[in-house]
Amino acid sequence: METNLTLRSLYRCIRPIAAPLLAALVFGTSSCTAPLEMKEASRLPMSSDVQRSPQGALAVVYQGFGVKLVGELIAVDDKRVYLLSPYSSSSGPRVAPTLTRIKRSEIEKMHIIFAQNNTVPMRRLATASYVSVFFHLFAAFVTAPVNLLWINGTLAHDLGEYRMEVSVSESARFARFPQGLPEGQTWETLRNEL
Amino acid sequence: MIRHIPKLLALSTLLLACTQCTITNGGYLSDFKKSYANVDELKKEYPQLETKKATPSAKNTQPRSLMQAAQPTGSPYLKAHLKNGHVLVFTDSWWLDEERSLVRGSALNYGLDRRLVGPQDSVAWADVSLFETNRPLPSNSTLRMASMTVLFVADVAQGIICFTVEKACFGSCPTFYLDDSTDVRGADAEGFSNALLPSAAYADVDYLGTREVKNGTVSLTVKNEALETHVIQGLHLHALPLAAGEKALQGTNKRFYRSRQELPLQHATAQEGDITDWVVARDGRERWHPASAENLAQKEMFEFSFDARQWDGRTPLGVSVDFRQSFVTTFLMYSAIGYLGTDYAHYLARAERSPRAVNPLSFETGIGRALGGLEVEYWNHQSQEWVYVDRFHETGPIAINAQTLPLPAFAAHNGEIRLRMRAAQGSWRLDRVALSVLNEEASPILMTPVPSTGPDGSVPALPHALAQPLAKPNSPGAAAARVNLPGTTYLQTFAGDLPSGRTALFLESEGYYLEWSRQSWLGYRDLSKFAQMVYRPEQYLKQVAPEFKAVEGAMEEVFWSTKQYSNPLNLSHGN
Repeated sequence: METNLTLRSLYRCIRPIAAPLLAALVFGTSSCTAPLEMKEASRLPMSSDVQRSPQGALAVVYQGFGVKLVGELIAVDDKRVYLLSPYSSSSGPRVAPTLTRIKRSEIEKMHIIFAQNNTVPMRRLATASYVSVFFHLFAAFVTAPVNLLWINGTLAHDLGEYRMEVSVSESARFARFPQGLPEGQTWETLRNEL
Repeated sequence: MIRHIPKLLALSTLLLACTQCTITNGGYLSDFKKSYANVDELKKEYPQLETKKATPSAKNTQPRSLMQAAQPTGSPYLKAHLKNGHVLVFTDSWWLDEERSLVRGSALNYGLDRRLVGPQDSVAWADVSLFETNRPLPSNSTLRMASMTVLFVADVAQGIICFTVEKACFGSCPTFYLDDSTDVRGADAEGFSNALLPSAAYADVDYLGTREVKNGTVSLTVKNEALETHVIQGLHLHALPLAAGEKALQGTNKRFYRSRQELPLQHATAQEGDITDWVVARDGRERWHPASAENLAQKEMFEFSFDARQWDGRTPLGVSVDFRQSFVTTFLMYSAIGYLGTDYAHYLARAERSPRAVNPLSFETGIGRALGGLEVEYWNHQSQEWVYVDRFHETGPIAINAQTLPLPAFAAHNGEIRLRMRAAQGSWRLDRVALSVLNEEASPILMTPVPSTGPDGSVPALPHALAQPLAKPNSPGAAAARVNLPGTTYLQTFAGDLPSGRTALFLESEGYYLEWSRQSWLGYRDLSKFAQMVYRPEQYLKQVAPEFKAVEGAMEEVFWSTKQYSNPLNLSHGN
């Protein structure tokens, strides 16, 4: 009974702003930066440090039919693109990586994400906003979901700033080895070195 | 500013999301990184790469002579990708030593796996397969920081208002809606606002408006938008089919009238001057003035003059006023509950048991009497004096009441009729004041509730009490009344034997409600204040005036700006 009342109250509160909220929800959660690469991208260097980072950018390779591969762009040669998954920062803990070869001809499109922003100040503001919602009393029926969407919309798309679509050839310069596979290295030898 | 906060927030969220997607595809970042296949290419662009002069630093121990040779120094962001797969990242200054074919500077050497191998201060050009320079990344996080700041400020503003003026953030007694709109500000009626106890239950009649009725049925949306328990013991409609040019009026004497003539309002004045435009028609533009800061019971006067040249001088007249209360009584009622603190329920129970218990907000005995209603007087030219007629009084700041006070027989003077009203300043909103000719008394047709189809297609059983003619408040039928808890909304259909066509509708609702106390109000417990409110209301209204003035603006703003109303906006009742 109580749950029913609460739901009905919530519905009636949100109804006047349902359209923009729904639209915000759709846009806010759509794949400007999808969850798969979100996790990987959280290990990317900050925008202020990316110039000093020795690693390659995070590549999102779309192969059609919804197949998507995410990993550090290791190198691009005439025939293939090499991805290392998962992405690991040079200083942080590492899990056993997998080096994947992808034929260029099988790539539909590529996105490159090469940095993340320092969101600490924004996250502090977000926390403060969430806390302030507790003081909204019943108005929180409206302001809480709006806050949720707004903040998630802002922070979730943080990576959008440093993401772009590139051709496979253009992507090479964002690789760990922009010159191609190092001399004397093959896919077989390299995967044991990384 | 805060009027449209919820909508603005939602729309801004949408814009924000769209903006982010635009940024996603921004190609302006593509040239932050440049590659050079060999040192010659790097040299070619070398002058353009300079971003600052080299300055010896504590970390830079290179001989000044070398630095001079390389002046100006290169960008600090140079990476030398070696043929063996290592990369040297020049984290500080670097320069090209053409004499020795070296890139010099302070670098960190990373291996194939990009683990740090160690520092290095030079690398031969020949060992480098690719140079790479990086410019500082542009960022527009300022925009997003700004948006987060806007959100935070809006949240804090909303929080301050709701937290400090909590009494303005809650709801109202039973509200009824005739049309699709269920915005509390447009409620067509609010029921039995004075009935705070079972023993105080009464039947309240409210004018709903005029509609085209078909098939003898009318539907109303019934809502509980407050933190209250509503007990509806009876709900009926009174329908008055109208002929062309006719109006139906509800008298303050519980009678209904047909009117075919209205005397034009010539002039209306209040303390601020001419208010004719505000009250000449029911248009939602209401005349209201803030309360006095010294005394909430302080009275103000309105004067009206009507053109009576078209009046036959014999047919009775009535002054028709469309009005509602402001938030003064809301504030007072919540204050009373707050003063009782944890004794509130006990007080209610005692009041219910004892016929001598005093309702502090009673219109007859308590603060309600001190505040008064809209007291009407007419100018008697013969005796050269203002003659008191009666008063309008209907509790509740939500629905606009349309009532007519029949006037005694008197004569116009020089084709003009003058009326005067006296009311507590800041307590009433006037939408329209008119002088109606009461052509005949009318007997409306009773429309009784019938089962309504719910949103899910179900047909709920009609409570016994609602299927019966109006019961007396304490009759046995009251026990079977419908109880609505906060958040309840349903459609109630009424049917009656009446012809199709333009019909005036009046709602008769009978019952009572139990106002819920709030946790935060318990902190206001002050029984002496409550006693003062009950026994010395005039003095109390003076003392509490500054406190009310401190929140009056915010209460107005919150009510007129918020569109939640399911946040129960308890802005009603008083007496």
